[in-house]
Amino acid sequence: MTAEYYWTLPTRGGGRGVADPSEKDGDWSPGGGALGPSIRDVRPGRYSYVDHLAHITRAAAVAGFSGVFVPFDPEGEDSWIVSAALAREIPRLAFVTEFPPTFGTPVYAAKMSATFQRFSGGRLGWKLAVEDDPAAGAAFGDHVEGADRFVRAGEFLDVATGIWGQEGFTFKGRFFEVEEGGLRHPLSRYPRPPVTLSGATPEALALSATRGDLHLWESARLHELEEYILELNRLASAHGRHLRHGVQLTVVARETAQEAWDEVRRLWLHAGVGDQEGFERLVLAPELWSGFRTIGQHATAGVVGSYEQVASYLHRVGEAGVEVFYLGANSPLEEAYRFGEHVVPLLVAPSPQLQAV
Amino acid sequence: MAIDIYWRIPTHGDKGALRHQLTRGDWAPTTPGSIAPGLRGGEPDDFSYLDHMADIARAAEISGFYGALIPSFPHTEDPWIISSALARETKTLRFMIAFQPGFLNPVHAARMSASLQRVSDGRVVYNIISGGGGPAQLWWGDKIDHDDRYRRTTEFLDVHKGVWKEGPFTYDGAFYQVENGRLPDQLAQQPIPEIYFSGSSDAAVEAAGRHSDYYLSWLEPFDDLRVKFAQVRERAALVGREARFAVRVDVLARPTEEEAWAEIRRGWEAFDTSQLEIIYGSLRGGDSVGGQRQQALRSDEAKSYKDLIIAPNIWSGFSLLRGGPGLGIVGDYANAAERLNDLIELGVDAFILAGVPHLEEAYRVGEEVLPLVRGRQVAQRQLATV
Repeated sequence: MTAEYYWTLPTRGGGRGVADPSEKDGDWSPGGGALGPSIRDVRPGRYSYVDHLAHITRAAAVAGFSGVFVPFDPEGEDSWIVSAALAREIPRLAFVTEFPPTFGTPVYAAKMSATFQRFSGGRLGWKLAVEDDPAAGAAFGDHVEGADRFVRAGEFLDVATGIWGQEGFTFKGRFFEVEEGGLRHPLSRYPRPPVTLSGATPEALALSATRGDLHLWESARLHELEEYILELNRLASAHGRHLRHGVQLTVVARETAQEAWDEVRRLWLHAGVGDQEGFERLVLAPELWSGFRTIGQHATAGVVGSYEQVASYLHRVGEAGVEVFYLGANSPLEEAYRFGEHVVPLLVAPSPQLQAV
Repeated sequence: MAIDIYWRIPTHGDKGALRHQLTRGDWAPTTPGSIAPGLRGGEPDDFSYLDHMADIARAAEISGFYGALIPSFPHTEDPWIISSALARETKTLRFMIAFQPGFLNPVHAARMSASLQRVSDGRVVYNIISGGGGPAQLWWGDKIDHDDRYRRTTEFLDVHKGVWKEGPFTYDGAFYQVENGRLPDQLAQQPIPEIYFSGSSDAAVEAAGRHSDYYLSWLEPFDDLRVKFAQVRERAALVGREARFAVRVDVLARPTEEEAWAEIRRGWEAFDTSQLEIIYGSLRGGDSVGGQRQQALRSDEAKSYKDLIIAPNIWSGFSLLRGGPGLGIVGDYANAAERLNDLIELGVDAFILAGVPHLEEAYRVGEEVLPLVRGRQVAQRQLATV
């Protein structure tokens, strides 16, 4: 079984300022990244933040990642636009685009996806952002709460799947209706994008069991993961289905464990979100820290250590049943190269030491 | 004010001439002679229809068009994705995205649009359609009455502008209820796209008066257009806005009039007249008033293409040779420019032109016709004094 690695695109700035995690790229940084008045600056109007996103994506491609994950973030760039703009110029990579099922009708999501699939050679993936707090929903004009959000997501997927490649599809649900719908050839030339879901509530698990292709876990504790995976597999097989499992992790890999932990500690203290004691409380295992969201990362759990330790941990996560890794890092351009050069070789051709773990 | 002239990017394939079958894109079987995808060693090559649309986009911007309309119908590619994919390989072309408010949540639409403004350096334009109604509307999963659609469009644009420019924005409408909606500052700083508004019914004209920058119409007989424009002007004045007008029209221009009409004749001869009833019948399904206005111009008694010439250089049979509006301009380069000049005198401020094949005709119209368009005499004087 070969694992797949996806890199997370920082759609609201990537935190390249290693010394200062609040520093973002381009106009996502406080000063807009402008040079001082005494220096001739030929960039204004010629470059934008998407150029840097393209650069990170290209780095992920050359460093050997399978794809990129483009998060839905109300405080960042729109995931559909970024994905479509970059898929055109960057070959091979899959683009897993996250969006809430409220962004438009499922027919329209399918329609947009069909065009995306056609020009990219079938490289689009869907990640549905189903859970949200009521205030965030209301800001988007969405007043559906709790378990109903999952009912709606289920209907959304039923419609998007139902119209793909067939005609005369009619659906009458609580949230969506279609009459005589259907995307026919050549729009349906490529398959509907694979569906990634997440969450650990009974509703989330039921949705994945019935409709997910990949379930993305936010936990990285091995025993917890094993339990979750067993449970979801049991639910899925009751529906005669099989789905894959993934985890979402931040990565801080350095030549030595000391360097890696020093880096995390420095970011934590600089961000001013807690003290040394607070930092220690977030250490879940010798190579696991769970405070990354507080320092600007998408995934709160992260693997920290030497290249060997990180590879070894990912290997063990894989043995727990995980086939797909959605990884992210501070300074994602540089870290994509680092991961590709130093960690991937240990994962692709496990060293005798790794195999012994 | 200068005239903005757009081209059109066909989103469901194209053909080498009006009289031919589709050969560009994969809407027809991929055979020897097909383009994007073509055949290579008997198999479809690596090009997709987007590669051909990219060629049209480049042709349009190189030959002087301000932008291009990217239409959206059930069986076409999607304009948001096309525009995003082509934004970074074009320089000046504006992407006029056709969409119906019923497809998208207005806050998400604002996010998508603002991000695309950032990617394209402000080249997004909207063509807002409120929907033709009938079977196509249910195809999209959108079930709503004709007049309600326009009320929803108005609310959609209220919310869309509100969250973009006045966030945190709260709105309590019949269709949308938003609490503290906003965009991040980097997105909110982007300009809201200009709006080209389509729709011929009273409800549409009412909604257009409030929200549109341009009122967009297919070409209709000039007197009809004059009446329609006057009506929109009046509505717009009620809400303190000055209406501007755009016309979407095909141009078939050749070095001589004879050559231009020969092209129409050959298209007509290749057309199976037994299809007339089917074609006109398909226009009757929905509740589109624009569609009905075009249908009223039908001439299914026509024995010759000449029977469909309704005014000098105006032929009403284009919808028989390709999908879309019926009326188009046919003539030599000077004729074509003169008809555009007539329309400008009548009050038109912007055009969406098109011609088959869209790649080659973008160059032809851009190189031969556009330089002959005078624009409004007043406008020229104003420009001269600047």
